[in-house]
Amino acid sequence: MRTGNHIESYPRHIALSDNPVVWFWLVALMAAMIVLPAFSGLFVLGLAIRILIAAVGAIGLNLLTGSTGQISLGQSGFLAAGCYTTGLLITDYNWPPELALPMAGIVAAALSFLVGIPSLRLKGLYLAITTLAFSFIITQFLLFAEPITHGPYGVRIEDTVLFGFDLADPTTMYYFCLGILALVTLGVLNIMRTRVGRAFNAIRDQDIAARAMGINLTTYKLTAFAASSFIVGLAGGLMAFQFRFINVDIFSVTLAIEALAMIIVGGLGSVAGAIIGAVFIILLPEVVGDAIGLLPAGISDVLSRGALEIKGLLIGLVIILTLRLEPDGLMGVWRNMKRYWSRWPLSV
Amino acid sequence: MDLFLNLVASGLVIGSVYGLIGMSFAIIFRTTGVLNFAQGEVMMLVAYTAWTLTHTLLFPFWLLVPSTIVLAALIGMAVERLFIRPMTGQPIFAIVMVTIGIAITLRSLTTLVWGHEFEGFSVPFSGGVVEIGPVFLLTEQLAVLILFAAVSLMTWAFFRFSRVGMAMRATSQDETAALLMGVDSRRMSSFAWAISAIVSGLAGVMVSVLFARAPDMWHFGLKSFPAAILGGLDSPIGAGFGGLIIGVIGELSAGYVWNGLKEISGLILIIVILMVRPYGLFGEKELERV
Amino acid sequence: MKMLFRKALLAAGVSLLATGAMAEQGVTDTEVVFGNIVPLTHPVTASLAYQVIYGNTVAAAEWNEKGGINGRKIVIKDEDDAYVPANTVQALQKLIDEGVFAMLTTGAGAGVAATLPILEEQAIPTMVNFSPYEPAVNPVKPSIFMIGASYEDLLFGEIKYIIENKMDGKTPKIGVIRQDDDFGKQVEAAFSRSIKDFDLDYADPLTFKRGQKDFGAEILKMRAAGVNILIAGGVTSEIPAMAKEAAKFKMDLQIATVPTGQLTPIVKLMQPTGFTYFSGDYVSPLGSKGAEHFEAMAKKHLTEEEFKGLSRYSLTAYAASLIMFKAAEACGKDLTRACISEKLASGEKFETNGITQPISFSSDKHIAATETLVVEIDSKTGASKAVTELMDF
Repeated sequence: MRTGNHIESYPRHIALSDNPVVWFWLVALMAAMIVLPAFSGLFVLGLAIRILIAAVGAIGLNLLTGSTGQISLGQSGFLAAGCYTTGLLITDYNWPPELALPMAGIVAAALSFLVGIPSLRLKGLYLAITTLAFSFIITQFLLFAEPITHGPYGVRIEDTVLFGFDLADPTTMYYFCLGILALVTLGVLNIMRTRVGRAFNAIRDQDIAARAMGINLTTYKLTAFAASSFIVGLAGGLMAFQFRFINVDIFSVTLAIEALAMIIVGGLGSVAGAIIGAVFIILLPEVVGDAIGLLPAGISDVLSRGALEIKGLLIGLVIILTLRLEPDGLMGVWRNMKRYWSRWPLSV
Repeated sequence: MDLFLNLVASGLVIGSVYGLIGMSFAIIFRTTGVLNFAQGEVMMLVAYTAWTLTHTLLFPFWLLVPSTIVLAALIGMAVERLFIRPMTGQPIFAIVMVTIGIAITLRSLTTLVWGHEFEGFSVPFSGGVVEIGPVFLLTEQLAVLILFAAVSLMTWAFFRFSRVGMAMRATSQDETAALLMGVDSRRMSSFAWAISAIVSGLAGVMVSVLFARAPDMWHFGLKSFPAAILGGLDSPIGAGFGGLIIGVIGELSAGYVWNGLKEISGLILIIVILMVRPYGLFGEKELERV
Repeated sequence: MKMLFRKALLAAGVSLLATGAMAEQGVTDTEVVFGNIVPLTHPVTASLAYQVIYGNTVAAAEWNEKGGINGRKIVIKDEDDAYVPANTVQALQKLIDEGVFAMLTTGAGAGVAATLPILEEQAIPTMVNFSPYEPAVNPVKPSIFMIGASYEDLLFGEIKYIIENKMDGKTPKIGVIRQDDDFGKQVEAAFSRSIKDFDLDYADPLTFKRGQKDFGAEILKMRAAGVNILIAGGVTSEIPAMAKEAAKFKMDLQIATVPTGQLTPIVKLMQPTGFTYFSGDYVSPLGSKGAEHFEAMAKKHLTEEEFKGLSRYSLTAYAASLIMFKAAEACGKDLTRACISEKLASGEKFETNGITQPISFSSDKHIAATETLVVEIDSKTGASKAVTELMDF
């Protein structure tokens, strides 16, 4: 008789998943993602690319905020840094895009040491606001250092050919982002089941206790900042190819808050949660907009004048309600559902 | 000297606005531990309501002030009751995120009701010029300074002497002990939201009088974060003075060093200060036990 | 399978299919679809965005009443980009997906720049008008056209007028406070040009962050430098905020503003400052003779509330739509994108019912209506009048 899912050995405990059913559905999901471009137009593809890039960024942020407990509102700064690094290297310095993209991650990671240092002393919301301050300073720099960054004019990226594939083509871009997301997901899942990942979790749960157990806070906090910023910077680099024209308007505070919303609504500390959160937050405005359109003609006409405001109103309410009903986010909802079905009829 | 004094005066004026909003952040944080991301939006909603009272319903000024205060308190309590109270017992992080949801909701609600146009807000005391030596101040700018002083004094006295204020401090220090002493922590949270809505609402009215009643007013909420952080999130008075410091530093750096510094000098300042005092200038160091 | 294959090709951005035997995208026997991307949800620009939509609506309604474009009904699809270039691109992709024939507006500021590559690749006829952006037409792109003078020309015209008529023997000293974006850069270009052309004394240019409200330090620096001509390079409520500070110090100041300076909410906020200030334009102001036809049409096709919300942005949008519709009509039954671009560039003069001089483009000049006039606004009474004729700078 099956009484539950018992894990009896360490290798099983750290396995990515021990369940063949999970693998089956993952493969099915991957297959669905691969055939998607055949069935979708430019808009859906554009939306899918946005989701993929947001998911990469959210996973990066989640590594820092969800897994290590260092709340950061500054990741939009690193996103900007990554995006501009790739854009400027290609446009002004004629770097091949193959090298310019990884440099986005590397520059962001290098910058993160600067921001990571306050984290050694600051906690919680104080850290959040300080990182927010850094992101303001980064965008201010991008705006004013005109000789380096083109200032308010923005950067146009012409050369978008990576390894012979032109990322200006939405389908190619989609597959490329999908590939990067898969790599980042695997990478982060693997970090989380090593010593480093467990140290991150220990720091999140209680940093003083973690130090007492021999975890070097300086090293691990800075590692978390660097790893997270590398991934976020990479997402920024992808954005350079997504828009092919970048300027600082893209990287507003709203973006940082949206990113935070993604990982919280998705479920803190979980890679899958970050991805689900990205899907949710990006699709929400679209779905709400379509839902308003579907209402009976009489009502939707009345609403159409204020349609955009009503959309905003509903987005806010959905975020509030999601957290109200399940503070662990959508991953919490998923876990509860799973438990309910797998333990039925013993479940409550 | 002339330039210096005028820059300081101008910094104090805008700093008072930051300070008032910073104070309202701190009032909620101190009592409930929540950083309210919707503070700027609450401020905007109160200001818009007050604008309607003045310009549509033609309330005279003596009636406007008390009715704005009452409305602000009601708005604050309603938000707390509807959205925050149900989250009691949940992780602070989730509650902070809820305030972000509230911010988006209130922002849309305000433009839905009042539209996108910006409008002037006139009060009987606006439009005059006061000369204090070489310093020129508009009467409404002077009024902001007076409001700041009055609100700071009252907030200080409230937390120091009043029963409710003391109960709120007790709740923030040790919720369980406060409960055992007969303090209803839920009611304290409700009070905190009401008071903070009043303080930021008054600031919002002054912002409308100084500049305009505009749909992007909520930015003042974000801009006041540095004030609250500099002074210490758990010290309302500290947050108020944090605002003054940020305002003056911003104007002086723009006046003497480089114009682009106006918006970021405050941010650089808090990074430096927090490296030395991680809990802000006036904040209390939190003792942690493992 | 065939269907699938076609969709895949479309998704790959291959627009070749659209040419040849198949009808052009966004054109059916009964309808032709125009797209419009405006910042409806950005707090500062939202009202301007609605004014643009009103202008387009009037043009479309007027045209449809006459039977549309060769029997095809004009349909306009509005999309919001919230003043974020990334959204502008996305909105454009959405419109392309839904089938759009030509674009009447493609966002403001950097949004225009961000959509250029796609507009060019897909050869979508576009009439840039909401926010002038020189790189859109220089170098010339076959399908992209622009009407309206640059902010540089508009402001330069005002400064020239001020120097020639308003200095009363005083030595002019000019200063500029501008927004820190590409719009602000154009404002500063006017400043630099007037210093050079008139050999002016000047104060160092100052920038401010978009969304800034308080201008204490900026005005104090201008005052300390003894500036008597100020280019108030803000878009909306920044202009009165600067004027209010200047009025406080009783500065003797001539103020030059961009066309938004004529908008009612700004004129209202300027009232307590008592300044008489200047703005520039390339369309006849509302209430003038040139705008009569438009106002009559607007009265007919808009609700009363919408009519009250009209501004010069409605006029420019109306003019841009008219030109586009006229070029489309000139193509006859066989409406294609290539044809519109060809007709526009043919050098033919397009009437805009008095709003501008007749507009004509050529194959190497895709910008028109660059003549500007100076508007003087008395903030005390709220009255505005054009003080010059349309002139080229």
